[in-house]
Amino acid sequence: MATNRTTRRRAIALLALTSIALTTLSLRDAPVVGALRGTFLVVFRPFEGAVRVVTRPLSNAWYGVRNYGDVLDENEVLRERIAQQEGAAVAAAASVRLAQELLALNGLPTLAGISTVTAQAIGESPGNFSQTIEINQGSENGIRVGMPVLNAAGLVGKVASVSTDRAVVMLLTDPDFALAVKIVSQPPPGTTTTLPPADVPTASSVVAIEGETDVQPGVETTTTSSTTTTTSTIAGFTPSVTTLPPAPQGVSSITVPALGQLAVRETGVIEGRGPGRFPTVRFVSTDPRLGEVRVGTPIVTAGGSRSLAPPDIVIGTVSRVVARTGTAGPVLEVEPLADLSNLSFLRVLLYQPVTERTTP
Amino acid sequence: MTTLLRVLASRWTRLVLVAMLAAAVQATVAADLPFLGVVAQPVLLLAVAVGAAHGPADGLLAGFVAGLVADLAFGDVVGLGAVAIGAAGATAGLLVAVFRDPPWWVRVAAMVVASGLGEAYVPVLKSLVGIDGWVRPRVVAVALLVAAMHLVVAPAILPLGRWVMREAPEELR
Repeated sequence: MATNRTTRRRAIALLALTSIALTTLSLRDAPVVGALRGTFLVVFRPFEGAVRVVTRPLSNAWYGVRNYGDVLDENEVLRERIAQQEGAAVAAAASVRLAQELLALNGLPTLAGISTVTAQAIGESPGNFSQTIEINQGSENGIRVGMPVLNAAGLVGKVASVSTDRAVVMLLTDPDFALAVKIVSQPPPGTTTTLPPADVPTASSVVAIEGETDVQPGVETTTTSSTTTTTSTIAGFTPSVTTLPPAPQGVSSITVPALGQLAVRETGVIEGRGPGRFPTVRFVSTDPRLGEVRVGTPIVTAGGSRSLAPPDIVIGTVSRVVARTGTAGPVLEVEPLADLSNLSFLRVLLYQPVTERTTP
Repeated sequence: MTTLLRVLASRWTRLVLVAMLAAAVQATVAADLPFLGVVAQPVLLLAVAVGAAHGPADGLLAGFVAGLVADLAFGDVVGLGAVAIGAAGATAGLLVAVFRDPPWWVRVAAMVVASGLGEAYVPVLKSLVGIDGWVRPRVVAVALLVAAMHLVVAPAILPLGRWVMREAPEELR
């Protein structure tokens, strides 16, 4: 009896020490823990697969019973939305293509140049204190820890761990998630650019603004009864003619930021706050020259040589601005564009910053 | 051959296999069917069942092993779940230990209470190792919901907890 008790105490002490050692190694991302997990998963995956096959009908039946009506309603709404968006998608694709060509011409990085792997979400987070999903692609497809994951709407999260054929994605609502972002200042609503008819001789792009216009050297301004047309000739810029499709009355209208407010950006860090709470952006500069951040302002990834994500991936929009006194700057609550509660097909950008790349 | 049979018949082998099954259930059906956004924790339930059936020491050991299995299968920090679930197993055992010959419903009640507490240990431990952001009022709601979900299945899991850590027959020891 006494021997049994001693053995048990030793076993408990051994397991406690093992747990502490593993926790320490795991927190330090030691390769031995990754190897241990990889080996274990080789044994565990068949178990999980078998249980999934057995329990899938049960889950499906439960969903069917609980959500049948909702699914029908949702289906109807989605059909309507698809019809609305089909037209817009064609125009958007053309704009994206133009933007990518412009970025490429100027030697700027574009998402189009980054390879992607399409993956399907196959499992939700099994715990209540982590915001992760599992996807059905892994290291054999080139996926590495830290790579950004997006869906059609925008950034979803980043790869947290990888095995050969699976990966775990940490959602951007997880409190462990942090990423450098840019806050794209928006122009005031109602700013319209009017391009003149094709037969009007013009040397460069033409911007017309309702409201305030800063007249600068080399800028010619004419005013009509309804709009103001500003012709800009920028020093050192070789003008080129952009052919636009003919508009109904020879005038095409597009909405762009006012000259002085175009692409005013500042950076911050987006951090998750757990389920049911929007992520926040901190470390935002309070410099008034950078403009005011309003509700609805888009948030995109900042990029950079040390960032895990390339620049300009859309994350979401500012849903609330919490002003703080002093130099701390405001805290911005960000509503992600991607619906994180309903993820299906995802894209993993095979992107690694220069600092993370290893030479073979 | 005899050694292999002994290993296969040992309660530790049984525990690892059942823990893997519980982890697989947690990663599949439990994760697919959350209740009010909260996922049931079969691995935790197994540990508290062992604790309620066999006492704090076995609950602790079974919790450590089952938690380690869960950590390796889907945990974000390997070893942390082992400590939390081990502590939950021991808690269940301690709650039962105050009764001389507890009836089944006391054991079930201990399982439910220990499940709630065990679920709350996870964010506390995460916070201790520097993973902040989880210790907030939601933990109470999650712990209560996990306890409520486990209450439904605890009477059926208690015999499993008893069987998992039962000593192997004399001839196979």
